[in-house]
Amino acid sequence: MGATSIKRFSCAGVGVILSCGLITTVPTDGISAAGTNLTKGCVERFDATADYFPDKAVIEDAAIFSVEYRRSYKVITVKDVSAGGRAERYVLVQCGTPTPQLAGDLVGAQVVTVPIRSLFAFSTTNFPPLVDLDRVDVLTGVAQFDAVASREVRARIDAGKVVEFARVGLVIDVERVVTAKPSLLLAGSTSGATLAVIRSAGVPVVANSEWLESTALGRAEWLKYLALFLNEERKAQSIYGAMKSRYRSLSVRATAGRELERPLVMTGRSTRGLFTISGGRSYVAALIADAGGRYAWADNTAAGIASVDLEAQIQRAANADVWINGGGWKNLAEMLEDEPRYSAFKAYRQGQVWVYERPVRPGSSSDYWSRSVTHPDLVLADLIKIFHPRLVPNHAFEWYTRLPAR
Amino acid sequence: MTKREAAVLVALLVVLTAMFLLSLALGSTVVPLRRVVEALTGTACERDAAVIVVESIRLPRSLTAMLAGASLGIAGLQMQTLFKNPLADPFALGISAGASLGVALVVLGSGYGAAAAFGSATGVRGDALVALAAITGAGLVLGLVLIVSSRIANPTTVLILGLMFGYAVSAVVTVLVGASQPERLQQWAQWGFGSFSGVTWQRLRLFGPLTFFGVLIASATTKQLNALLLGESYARSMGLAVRRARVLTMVGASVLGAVVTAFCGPISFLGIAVPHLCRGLLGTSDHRLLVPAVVLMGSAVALVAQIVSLLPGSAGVLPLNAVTSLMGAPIVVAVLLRSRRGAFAG
Repeated sequence: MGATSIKRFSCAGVGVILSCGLITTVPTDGISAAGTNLTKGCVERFDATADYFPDKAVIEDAAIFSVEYRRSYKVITVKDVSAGGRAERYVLVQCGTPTPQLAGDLVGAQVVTVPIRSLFAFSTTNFPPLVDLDRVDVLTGVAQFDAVASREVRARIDAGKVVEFARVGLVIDVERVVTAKPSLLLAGSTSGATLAVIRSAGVPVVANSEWLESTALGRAEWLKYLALFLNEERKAQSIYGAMKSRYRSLSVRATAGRELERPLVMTGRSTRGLFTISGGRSYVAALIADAGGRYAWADNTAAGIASVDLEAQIQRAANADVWINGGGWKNLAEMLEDEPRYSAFKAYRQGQVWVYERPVRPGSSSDYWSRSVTHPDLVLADLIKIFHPRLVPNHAFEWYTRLPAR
Repeated sequence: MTKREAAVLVALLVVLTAMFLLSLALGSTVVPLRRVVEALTGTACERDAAVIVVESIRLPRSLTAMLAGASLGIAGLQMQTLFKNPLADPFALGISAGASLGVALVVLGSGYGAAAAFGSATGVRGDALVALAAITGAGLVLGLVLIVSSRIANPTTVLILGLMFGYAVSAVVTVLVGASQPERLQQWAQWGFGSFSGVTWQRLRLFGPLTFFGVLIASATTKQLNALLLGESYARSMGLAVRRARVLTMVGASVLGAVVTAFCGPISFLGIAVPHLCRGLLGTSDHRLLVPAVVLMGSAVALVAQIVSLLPGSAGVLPLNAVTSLMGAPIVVAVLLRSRRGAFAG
């Protein structure tokens, strides 16, 4: 499985051959080669029989979005634009080709001209995919400068090429977005009234629902979603494929034939007697299982986070071997100041409390939240090193550290 | 004391005892009764999860609920009598809003210099910092209201003053909420739910004496309250230093409210409802009876709310404030409708 099984050089068939020939004759800024998508610039002479997207994305793990290809446009369906929200469809039209007549359920769909030239991205989780695709150059707007951990994006901010469009309280500054007129605004969800105003002012807005995926791989595959707007399917397929095969082979090593030595794992932290844990159907629970652990709340039905009474957590997890994803503490002593009853947990008493907040460099914040989305293989490797240290002796922790005693 | 009044007090005591025992036996998980008794009597041979749950979660939680309920009940009674207003509660002088502001500053604005400096200067963090911020905020607003109200003779004007201060302070909180990150908002919302579960044995060492002696001191004001009930001129003719009594009662009630808010979050409803329930049941406004009744009733109602909020057997938790109000409002309405003396016997 993985990258090798995907048809990457699909420059076959009559239409495709025509388009290949066509594209080579187009004097773009030197990017396109025969048989690839146009990642910059527009088509100059439209040929109705040509396939303008010889590189296609194949969606394997993401459940929330899908894509269908036509000759000169692609149609994305996002199943949930927000938790429990409705579905939306987007029509991505190759620049330089005519906007298709939209019929049926595509009437009124958001149309976006691709490849986009500029991007306003609301979520920090959008930055790592841009870095991986080597396309940070399109980013022209971020919600808040303070929230940016990515070095590449920081450099663009320092160079004055990026504006801040939701500086106060993450409320989108409509005027700023409309006057900057980016090719695309990638929002968290598209249900807000502000976004309707932005759309009607002519700035395309699409949803980014990667956080609703229930598996880590599904979340990571949203790299391809971003790639669709950049015509970078080829790069995305290969990056995702390689990552997925690393994930799979790690997971096989951690789970095969190890039923007897799987540690019991607990997650979360307590606030005033209420424990916030990862739900049993969350991607965290899936990661724990894939890393060869047993999750204390595997039978829980929540997809995101869940709140359980401290009492219930003690009954479930007093004997857990490992405690991950607590957060907010510097050491074990500080944890006990927060909540003296943490000492009821064996994982605490044995010092097996692991947090992912190690900063990238002194004085900065951890980039776990943004970068782990497209790199679940690294999260998995970290977890395997915690659960089964001997399996991955050469792996250096990417995010996780064990809390010191003080 | 009539027979009925004595019967009501005894019944309250019995109900309170029953609720206390029930709150130790029930929780979000099942602990066999035998293990509960073992844990309480210290005869458990093995310190397993069940014993830890009873000893370090249920017992401090139940004690906290009782102390908080009694404190809010008696503080509410004092405020209602003092202001001759059935809508007054322990937070009438803006202390709830003040506490909210303090907490909002440290929870929502942990990035701000002032909040961070406050934390590092006092050397506390986490929940203790939240409690300290709440009590500081409440104290500041109360101080302001008291300074301004020292120029005002009419109690109703003081009440309106407290309300206005509350509105102004809440507006600042709204601004903070509007400008904060979603993940901090969740923490903020959780504080607003109210909870008795966050008070551990360590915190009970502070919370316990504060509320216990607070309630005791407040109980000693029955004579003044009875005199105030009959009007200020009458109280004065009885030799009561009215202004002093008024300020002391206001401060006492507000401090009780502020302490409970600091440790348990803003517990709404109990402070306003419990005095009404007791007046309705006893059919009197004599504070010599009302004070013990309010203490017993407040503790019992808080325990019941605590038990319901845990939905015994399931892992989830209902916000405590939702339970107190949803459960309590219909009961208070029923008592008011049935009571011949009407809403407020003052």
